[in-house]
Amino acid sequence: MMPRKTRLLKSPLKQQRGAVTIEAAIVFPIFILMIFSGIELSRGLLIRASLNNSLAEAARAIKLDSPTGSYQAVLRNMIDKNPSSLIDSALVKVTDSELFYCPAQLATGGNCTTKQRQEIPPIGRFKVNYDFTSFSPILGTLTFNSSIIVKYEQK
Amino acid sequence: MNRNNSLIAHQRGAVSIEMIFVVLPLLLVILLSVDVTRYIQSKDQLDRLGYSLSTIISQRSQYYLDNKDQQLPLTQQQVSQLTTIARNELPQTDVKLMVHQISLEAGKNYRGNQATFTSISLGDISCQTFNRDQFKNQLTASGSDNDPAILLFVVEVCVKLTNYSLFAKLSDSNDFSSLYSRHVTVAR
Repeated sequence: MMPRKTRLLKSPLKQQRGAVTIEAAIVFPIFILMIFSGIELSRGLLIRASLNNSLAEAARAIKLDSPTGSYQAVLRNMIDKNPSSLIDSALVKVTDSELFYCPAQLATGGNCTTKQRQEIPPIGRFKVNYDFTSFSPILGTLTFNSSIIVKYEQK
Repeated sequence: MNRNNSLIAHQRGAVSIEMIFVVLPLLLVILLSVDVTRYIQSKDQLDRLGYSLSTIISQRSQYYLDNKDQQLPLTQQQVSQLTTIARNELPQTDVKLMVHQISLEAGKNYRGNQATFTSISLGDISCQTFNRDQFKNQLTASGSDNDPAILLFVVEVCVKLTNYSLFAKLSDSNDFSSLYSRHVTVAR
């Protein structure tokens, strides 16, 4: 039979056995979740930078055409042409596209002259959004908004 | 026995305490990375906007005409319109803009000292970096006396950032307190 003194000494040790493992089991998933969310956030920011780049590329492409073409189609085409792009072109949405015939109209909604309306290539403003669905439960789905102004070269 | 008990009891919560020491610096690193990336993306947005504004001003002969279809000179009103466009497009409201018009006369061999400068700004554009003298020195002679007249525009956009960057707050630095973009275009 174990002497009483040893029993008393061992009892708290027995109670503590596995405590660190249990603590680690609680803390480790939180830690991993944070690291994973950080990686997902970086991926999101990379996609946002890529979206902005595609936006500018598409703007350069459409400015040489007449403003009747679809900016969304050109933008999606630009994204699809780039095999290294992380963007899913189907998720890119042009939410607003407007044409302005003089800087005053773009700035304050002012009036343009008839000549400007009829003869001068307009200024286009396009607003785009992209829903980024992350794998992190903390981040969820992030919506990236971006816009660009294009001065058309042709009427 | 009490001493042993006390040592064992002290191990309780050790992982959680260690976790705090690891997680806080890690969280700070993640936040700072996001901060710097956000700053770079804002700069990218300003560059795109600056390019669009410089394209508009370079084609101002289409917009700013008098009753006889003669081109009007660069005015404060035109620069104000560009500034309003910039303010509408950017999330920040403290946007300043400066437009420099540089006229190079025909047949003058593009010597810098013969260039005529007109600069109009909206707001105190203290972050501007455009230097007229430096620009004049960069205008080199073409070797021909038949150079055509050229009109150049330099558009400078400056955005003041307040309470924007965690990195700037921690480093007490002014590096992340403003955004600046400059574009040079030829009048068309």
